[in-house]
Amino acid sequence: MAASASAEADARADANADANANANAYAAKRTLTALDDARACQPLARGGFAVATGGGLAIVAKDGTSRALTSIDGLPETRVHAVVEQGNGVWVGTEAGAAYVALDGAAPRVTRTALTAPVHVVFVSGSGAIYLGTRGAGVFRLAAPDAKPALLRSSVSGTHASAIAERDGVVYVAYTDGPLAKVEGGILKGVDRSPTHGQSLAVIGSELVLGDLEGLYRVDPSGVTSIASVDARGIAAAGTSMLVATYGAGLMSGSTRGALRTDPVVPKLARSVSVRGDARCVATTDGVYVAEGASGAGSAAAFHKVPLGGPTSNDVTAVAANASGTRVAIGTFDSGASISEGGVLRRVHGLDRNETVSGLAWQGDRLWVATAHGLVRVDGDGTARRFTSHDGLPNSYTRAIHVLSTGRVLVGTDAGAAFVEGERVTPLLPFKKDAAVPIASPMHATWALASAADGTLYLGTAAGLYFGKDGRFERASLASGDLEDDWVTALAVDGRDVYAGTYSKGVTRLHFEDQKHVATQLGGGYVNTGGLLVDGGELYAATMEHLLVRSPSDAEWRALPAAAPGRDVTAVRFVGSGSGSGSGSEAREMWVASRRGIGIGIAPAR
Amino acid sequence: MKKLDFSRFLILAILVSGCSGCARGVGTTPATSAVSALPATAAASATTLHSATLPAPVHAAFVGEGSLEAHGEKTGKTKLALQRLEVAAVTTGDVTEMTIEHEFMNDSDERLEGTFRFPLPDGAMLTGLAMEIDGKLMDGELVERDKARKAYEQIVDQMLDPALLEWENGQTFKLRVFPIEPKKAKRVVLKVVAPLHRAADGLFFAYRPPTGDGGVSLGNVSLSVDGRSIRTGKGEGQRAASGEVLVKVAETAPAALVERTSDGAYVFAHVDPSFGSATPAVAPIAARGQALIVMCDRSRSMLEARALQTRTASLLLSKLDARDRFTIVTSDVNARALGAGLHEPTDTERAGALTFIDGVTPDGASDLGKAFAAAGAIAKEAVKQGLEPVFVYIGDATPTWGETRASELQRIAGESFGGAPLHVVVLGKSSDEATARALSSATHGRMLRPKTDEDAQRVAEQIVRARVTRRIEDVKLVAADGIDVPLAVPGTVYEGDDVTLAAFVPKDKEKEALGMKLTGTIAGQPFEKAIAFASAQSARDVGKRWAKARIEQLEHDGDAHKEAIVKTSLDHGVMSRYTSFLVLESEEAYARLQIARKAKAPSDGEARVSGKDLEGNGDGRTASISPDHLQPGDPEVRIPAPADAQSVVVVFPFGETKSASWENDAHAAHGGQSGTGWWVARFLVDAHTPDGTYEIVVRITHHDGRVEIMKLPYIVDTQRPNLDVTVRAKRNGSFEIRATQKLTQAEIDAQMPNAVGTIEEKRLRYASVLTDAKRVEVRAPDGQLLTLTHLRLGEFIGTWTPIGAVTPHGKLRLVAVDRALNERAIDVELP
Repeated sequence: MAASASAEADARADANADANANANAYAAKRTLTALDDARACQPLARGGFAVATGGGLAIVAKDGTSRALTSIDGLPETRVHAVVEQGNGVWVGTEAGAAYVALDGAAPRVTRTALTAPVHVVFVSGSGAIYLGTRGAGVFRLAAPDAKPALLRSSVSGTHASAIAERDGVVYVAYTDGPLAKVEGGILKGVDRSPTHGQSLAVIGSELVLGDLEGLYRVDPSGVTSIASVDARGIAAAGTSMLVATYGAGLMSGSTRGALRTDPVVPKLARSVSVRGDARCVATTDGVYVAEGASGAGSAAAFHKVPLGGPTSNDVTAVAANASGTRVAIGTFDSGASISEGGVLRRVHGLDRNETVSGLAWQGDRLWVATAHGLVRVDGDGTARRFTSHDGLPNSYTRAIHVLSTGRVLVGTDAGAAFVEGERVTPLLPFKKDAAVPIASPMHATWALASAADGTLYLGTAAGLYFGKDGRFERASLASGDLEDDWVTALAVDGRDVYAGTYSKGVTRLHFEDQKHVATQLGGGYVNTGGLLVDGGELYAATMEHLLVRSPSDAEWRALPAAAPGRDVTAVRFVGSGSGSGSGSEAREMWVASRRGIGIGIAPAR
Repeated sequence: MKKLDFSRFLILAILVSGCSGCARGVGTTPATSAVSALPATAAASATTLHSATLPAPVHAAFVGEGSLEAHGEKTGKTKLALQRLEVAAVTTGDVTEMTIEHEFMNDSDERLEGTFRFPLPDGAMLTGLAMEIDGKLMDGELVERDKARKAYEQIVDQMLDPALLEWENGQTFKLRVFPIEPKKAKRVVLKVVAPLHRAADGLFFAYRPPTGDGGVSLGNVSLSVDGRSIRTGKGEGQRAASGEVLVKVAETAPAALVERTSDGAYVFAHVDPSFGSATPAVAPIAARGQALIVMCDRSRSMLEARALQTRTASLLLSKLDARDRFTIVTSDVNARALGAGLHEPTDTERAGALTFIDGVTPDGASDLGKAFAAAGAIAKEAVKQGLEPVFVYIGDATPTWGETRASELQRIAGESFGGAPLHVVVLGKSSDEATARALSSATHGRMLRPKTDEDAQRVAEQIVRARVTRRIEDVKLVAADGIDVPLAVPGTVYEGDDVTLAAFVPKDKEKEALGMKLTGTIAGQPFEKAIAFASAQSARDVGKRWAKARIEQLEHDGDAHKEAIVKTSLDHGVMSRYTSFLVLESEEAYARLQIARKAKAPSDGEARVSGKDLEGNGDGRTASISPDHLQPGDPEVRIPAPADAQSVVVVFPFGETKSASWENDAHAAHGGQSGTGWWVARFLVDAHTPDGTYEIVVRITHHDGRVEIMKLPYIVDTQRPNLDVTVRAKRNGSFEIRATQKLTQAEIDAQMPNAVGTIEEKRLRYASVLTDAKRVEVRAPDGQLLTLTHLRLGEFIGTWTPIGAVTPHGKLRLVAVDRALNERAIDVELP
């Protein structure tokens, strides 16, 4: 029995090793994340800056060069909320715990992680203790860098810690959902009459200053006094003056008793400010701004941007490469789209800066963009044309695009699909097979589109999969027994097989033969919009739980967590026409988009 | 993305707050020309300490459901069943903004016209009305009363769908509704702003649980306070002795509130007179007996409140001592005194007095001036006997006969009572609080509003002991010139009174007018209370509270200031007796009748979190016009901030912040009208978000720098709907299929984690809130696919007529889909 058990264990170990090796083969070799989505920053004692961003931790050297770390490099999560220097490294708070990143080697490396809850604030006290403020899991104290985190007992209602400061040896904690608290006898206790949407905290001179969603306040034993009605996200002392990072008015400076002045350089949406000696930095939604050699609070002109680059947002929703693989369009949920060409990223003009992009498709050198406000056609010369419901689209919220071999473009909207040809928009009127009346079923919100070589169209809707041609359609659904979930979010066609990815019940394979179809449930979890791809005989599914892959011979999906810097994978595309095993510009690459940016790896051989 | 449910939000609104136990108006006296209040009338000397021992009354924000009385040719007069009631309350400052949704059912076979009545709590204001017309919720528009009535009549003649909400009397408003279609439900949504209950241990949303008189079962009642569901059935929260349920919304009640506009700042303040250690710990004692002259209003509107009226009178008389005397004056269009002269408070005399009151059946109109004159005549006799006259009026304070102007009644009271105080005990649903306040304030009395027997005890105690209660006399409000304080400050403030004042500080005075002062004397010692504007808490509705006070002030003179009342009402969106809410069936109808639209349709104007309508009707509209519709997809937050706001920032519960963008074409994008817009932010709910209620916080920075904070709850729902299915074979060979959604334990636990009771109790209680199936499809053994008809909430029905022979033991496959697109397939064997 023992020998048998051991053999089984060995077999399992071998299988795991194979799986790991296989998964590693898909690991991203580089990442493309929006590092200008700066959330916090810290001037470093050695010079340079550490920047917490939505796309990882960026370490900016004195000479301006930078390196970024993401979850692929060992951070608990790619979205970094906070950064504070201690010793020869920095503590960072991420969306899935805290980490210590050592900076004493040739390259920054993660040497320790702690907690798994979102850590939004990291604070190092005068005694060297580390405080980790979480969103929902309490405030933890580490007596020393290598100590275990100890949860502070609390008697306050707030659970979302947002800032920590220390005055006269007393530690204060601000919460976004409750009053200010202070540590007394090891217990967090509320400060009477303090505002309840706290966001930042600092000691200026001898005064404790609280930044709240409603304004900036001075907190002293006699009560809380309003200083200004700004949305104060970060506060730092600059001598006896203070710097305030505001969301709306940018960086402001002044005293706790007087009017605040606005810095003319720093953008309006500032999230955090930090000062060390004569170096200071401001984290904004539009990048990190730094100033060195400044003194006092008012040295506005000294700030300049340190461009860290990346796509327009980390929340990438779509990726599409042109036929030659020289240009890759990247669409985002909240910040329009950009095109990567020759290693350079440029914004797609014709889209609003905060445009929601649902889908992308190339047609020669023309780019089609599905947005929340219509379908946008961007021609090779940059000319943009937007189609909305006013042009005949069933709805202006467009979800999917499919370029047909006929040259027509099929677009899925929230109220049905339509063809676009030239300037003409023709709504798709679906009829039942052998019936002259349009289908009166809820075939409205169309999330996925595909077509077969014989002209059959496949429309993935929130009420099942419609398939047919010449306007005559059949429906596969949960009621018909074909699907396990009616909400079809993604489609891929491979010969006679059609793969339908669904919102919550994975993938269904529909094999079509002799006017009939057979459905097989493949599982695979939550498939994101446009998240299916067949390549080299393998089926890829971009899901909320990593990129999954399976070959026809596989009985199960394999998860590829190292393929992208985010767990919630939204798209996978193969770019280029290289052999797949080469390197350099000839290499065929695998682009895996996620809610935390893009991972780019070497594509497996076909 | 995550399936997202719901969009319960917050609305806007208005209000006025009264004080606990006795509301008072306030007035301003320029610093340079202070006017003394009338001297206190009670002879006083300082010897002993007195303090009230009865608990303060509870200020309920919700006092019960409305009713819809309808009539039709065949049906006659009928009261429609209330089948659903939803109250969503949101705190701002020390008031609550409530959205109150009633759903009535017309079970008759004919089209009816009806009148909806709703009892408004003390100090509350109606700020909005919406009604379902052709399945769409339309927001009403505040319009000058006569114009609104004319429009209503004109539209009724055209057999279209208008509704008209008018002031009826006192605190009662009536809504005329037409048509109410047969076998159809009618939804009426009111927006009300009401004061919260202030207590030493915090600020409370107080409500009276629905009585069920309207036919609504507690299971079909839902109440949420600041996004939290309250279990009305079990009465979640503390229960006051007087029956109200108290739900704490804040640890402390703000003393002062401010709302800044481009014109200036509106301030609302509670002035705690502070009879604490700083004042002499003594109270006056009475050197002589009192002559209690009790006026009982027996006009018709007092019919319902007659028992409490008699009870209050009885309690008053029972608290008199041997030195005291009393008499009773009953009044309607006439005034009648209890025998001649004054009476000793013996058992026999008291019993006779109660018999006298009960002997006058409430009927006819109310002539307050005549009652005051009759009572005043008796007072002269009292003074001759060395007694101190004290007047008490018990009624609804709604003058409907003779002199009806509050200012003139104040004059008559002053002349008749010779400076003696008039305490006004307000009873009845049709009470005129403004007149009551004006009368009591002008005569140094108190306005009191008992609702229960315990309240009546307290009121009797307060009145009989008023002479020996500590008070601030010679009260004056000192303010800089230019500060606009609508109502007059009372000359006397009694211990326990909560003095409130509303003020408007014009923009050009804001720098110099940093506050106001209330001054006076307590037992001869100077009293001063400062009200600093700088410490005021920012809140919504303060301007409207000021407007309500202004309207009350203007209403003192009857119709004399009608134009000014209408203007103030329309400017601030505060309903008055001269303005009405009119609901028309479409925007085109408003345009046709030349009624300018300030209100947006609810789907436009309400801040909300919503997903997309993924199974819409194909017209492209976002279907959610109700706050509790569930929708999946990438949710949007829509905030009805003005287009010229400096910024709208949305803070999500998972810690992210987004700047909302003004989307001018958003409506058009969804197939609606163009030319409108709102602030929109889109977000994604993480895959690992547990089911439950979450809250978004919004910061609006208005064009003038004013900051407004708004909270928007939303629900994440991933629970699949469950069905109870019955299949019945019919004689003609077809099958009737009935499917009813049956809430599962998982669904209830996910959304109501704190719910207690058995599963059946929970199902009953939360059915109206959690039932969310929107579509049921059936796959029959012969391959037919049927979509069942949605009969009513959670109920579906359909008929399957088989093609060919029915397979033995064949099965129907039913698929239920809820509003968040959660699905469940159920196989049912054929009978």
